[in-house]
Amino acid sequence: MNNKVSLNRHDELPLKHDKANLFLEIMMAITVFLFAVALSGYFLVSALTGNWNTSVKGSLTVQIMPATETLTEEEQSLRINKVITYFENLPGVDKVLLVSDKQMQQLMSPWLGETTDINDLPLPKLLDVYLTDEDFDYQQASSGLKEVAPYASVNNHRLWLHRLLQLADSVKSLAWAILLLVLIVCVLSVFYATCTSLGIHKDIIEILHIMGATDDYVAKQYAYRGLKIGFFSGLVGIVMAFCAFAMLSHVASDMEQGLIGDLSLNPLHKVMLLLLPPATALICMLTSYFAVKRTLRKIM
Amino acid sequence: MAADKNIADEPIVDMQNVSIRYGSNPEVLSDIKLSLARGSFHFLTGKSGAGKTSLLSLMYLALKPYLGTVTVFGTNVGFASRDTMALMRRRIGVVFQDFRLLEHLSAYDNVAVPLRIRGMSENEIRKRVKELLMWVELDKSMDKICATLSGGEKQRVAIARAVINRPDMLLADEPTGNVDDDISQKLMKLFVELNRLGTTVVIATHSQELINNYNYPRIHLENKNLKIFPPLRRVITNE
Ligand SMILES: Nc1ncnc2c1ncn2[C@@H]1O[C@H](COP(=O)(O)OP(=O)(O)O)[C@@H](O)[C@H]1O
Ligand SMILES: [Mg+2]
Repeated sequence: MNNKVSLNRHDELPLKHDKANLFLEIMMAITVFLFAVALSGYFLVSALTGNWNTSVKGSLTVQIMPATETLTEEEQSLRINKVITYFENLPGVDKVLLVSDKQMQQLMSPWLGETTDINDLPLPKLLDVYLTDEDFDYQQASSGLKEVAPYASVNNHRLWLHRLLQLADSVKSLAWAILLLVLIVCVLSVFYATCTSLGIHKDIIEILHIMGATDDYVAKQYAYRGLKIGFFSGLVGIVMAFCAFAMLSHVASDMEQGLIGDLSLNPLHKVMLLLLPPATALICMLTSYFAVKRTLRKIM
Repeated sequence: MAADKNIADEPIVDMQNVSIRYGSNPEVLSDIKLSLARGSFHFLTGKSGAGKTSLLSLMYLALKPYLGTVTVFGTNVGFASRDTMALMRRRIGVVFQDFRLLEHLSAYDNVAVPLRIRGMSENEIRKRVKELLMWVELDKSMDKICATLSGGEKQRVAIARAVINRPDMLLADEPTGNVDDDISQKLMKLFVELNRLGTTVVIATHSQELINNYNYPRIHLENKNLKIFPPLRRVITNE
């Protein structure tokens, strides 16, 4: 059968003039805007935390405070060993190494110069704890450490980073939930707008049926309308989203760089965002098509 | 060969023990039998409200019988799928009493609808539609939106739309009610010509003149029932 879509197609159904079109277009544009924002939020958080992840995983540093009272050499090493044993027995720990005096000297030399003998200074002892890929529980490790050896502490920069990472994970889950909700809203509004329109044009559809039109013939006219509205609204939504990003990155560039880092999306993510209008068009098209097929089978 | 003959002998429409009712209203037609042979021509008469439109809509598959079986083109309508019915409807031309044109489209586009549904190319459609519109003397108005046409013009559009597909069966519901006498003559000629080419025709009408002028049998509806009258002998005039 010859069902090809010609460009100057004549649609018997006056769908172009449906009152619901404007509603649908606004709805879809907002939907795509929200989708784009949620998606880029997801991308950005993933990119940021990707860096943090690599710095958090691998190793952490534990510092052991210099004794305030005088301790013998033996007592001092006992304290250190206690901390080492504590960490070695935790799950997810590969090995624990004491940062040597020589390494300490190197670390401090920018501030103290080469000549100062660090043994004269009340510096903390540092332990490097190397982690395996297994999950390592920072919270528990640090609170457990407080009980075992109150004079030692886990580098709290990393702990803080870890908490931030957890927050980022929640943000990512939230983004997923928004993406899902937005998708549902999109499908539902197209579905119900289509059903309403079928009711409005019932007489015309009946005539078309009597002339020998299949449900498919009617559904294709709706699918075409869905395609157009989806694509057009998708474009509007994505333009709004890019405007919002431009404003946001303008504001961000005025702020301190360090922490936030680069707030712009990488090219791959931009391409994915640009795929939103065609994706919306496709969703609107398929939803319209199946809404018509389903509804006609029920009501006519 | 034998099989071919069977198909040719098979009635275009066959109704057995058919009753029609709308919702829980009393029956409009009750336990009727009707068989229309291929290539036959019938008038359909009866008082207003007798059920002419209802009987026709059974034939163009817009109404299901309340009881009984309706067979069209050899297919039992009760068991046909939606798509099968759509294909069957493409072989039926219908002229509605109230035209039922697509008012927002031009005369041209209305007549083109059955061809577009069939997926015919626009070139072929243009050729056919223009030719037919010229024949029904609507070529001047073919780009006018139907809502702006007069009653008689709408009727001719409706008739053109019904015959554009060269249907196997043509059902017309009081098709000559709104048109001038000479146009009415011309439209009847069109139906007769189609019938001569093999189309089965049923025309619902109130016009005694029409019935008198043409030598065709008549299906008459009365008291929920149906009677078939043989063709009236045509009065031989001295022209
Ligand atoms: N859609 C409908 N719903 C309910 N009753 C109907 C409907 N269509 C027709 N009727 C009733 O069926 C009877 C026959 O109507 P119809 O077939 O239109 O007769 P005719 O065409 O001979 O005037 C009438 O009493 C009419 O009121
Ligand atoms: Mg009637």
